[in-house]
Amino acid sequence: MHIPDGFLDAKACIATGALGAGAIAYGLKKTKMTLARPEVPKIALIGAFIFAAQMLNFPVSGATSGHFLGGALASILFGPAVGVVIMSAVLIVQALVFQDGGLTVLGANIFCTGVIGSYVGYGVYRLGLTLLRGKATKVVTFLAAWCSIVAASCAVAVLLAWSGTFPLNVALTAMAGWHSLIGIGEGLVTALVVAYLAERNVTFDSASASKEASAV
Amino acid sequence: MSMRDPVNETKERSAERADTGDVRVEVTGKKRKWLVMAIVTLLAAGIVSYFASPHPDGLERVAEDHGFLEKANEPSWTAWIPDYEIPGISSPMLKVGLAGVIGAAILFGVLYAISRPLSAKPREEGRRE
Repeated sequence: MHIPDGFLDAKACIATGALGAGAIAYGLKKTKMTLARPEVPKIALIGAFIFAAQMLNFPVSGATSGHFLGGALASILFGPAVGVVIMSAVLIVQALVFQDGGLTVLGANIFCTGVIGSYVGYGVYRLGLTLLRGKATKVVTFLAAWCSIVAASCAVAVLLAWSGTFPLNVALTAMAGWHSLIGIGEGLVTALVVAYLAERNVTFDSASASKEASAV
Repeated sequence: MSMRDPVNETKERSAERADTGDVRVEVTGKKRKWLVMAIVTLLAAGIVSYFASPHPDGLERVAEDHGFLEKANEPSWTAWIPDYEIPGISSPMLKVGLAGVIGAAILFGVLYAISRPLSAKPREEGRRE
């Protein structure tokens, strides 16, 4: 879902450029507050994994393919702020080294797949865990990843329509339609990797976590 | 509170996160699992990437169906590895696979370099100076 140069007009490029830059600055600031050193190589490796997985286009339907994005995976594992940092790094390297995704629309790509992908994925995951009291985590993870893709594709549709490319309702139907299929792949990979890397399930009780820390 | 090891540091950090209302999984510290992730990453980037579907992705499909694919500008510059194929290598499998491995390595390096200075230093390390 990498937007190429030319799809968006100047106002959309500038607006999303500012939003993208702001989100990266906020992500880095929040990361600095919460990151522990043992997480550093894990974050780097998940970034490498997301880059590799994004190369693997899988056939969807007819002559169309889709690929993994990774915003939900990164934000479920490390929180949405780190998720934005990881996704932005992937998108910037793809644009600069591999010419995948345009330069004037880099902010738009960071905003849609990085920011929206990370925060929607994380938000749905958190909501699902709270509603189901931590049960059926694999299903919740799948849904979170699926929603992150569909939400990101809707954001791209809004930007395309805002740039006068085609009407909003047509854009939303087309983008969400294809990406609800692609999102199945996203959901499966995310659920698999999260289940593999999760040591134990979520810590709901902040009080017990604080006690643990003060006992140290 | 004088001697703190990285494990306790991590615990404190996750407690801080719990206080700010963050809910998330506890990511494993098992080396074997991360080694498996590294191997999967290298295999995906280096070998499976060659077998990826060449068909247009969701956005390209929509652009084609609605007649605005031609709005995409040809880039006015040439990147080092355009289209995930290293220029000058004749073997199709090698030029894609090598591009994938290089990209994965760049991402690992970039993210390591960005996040390490942002991470909390285990106290003992600073003390030894």
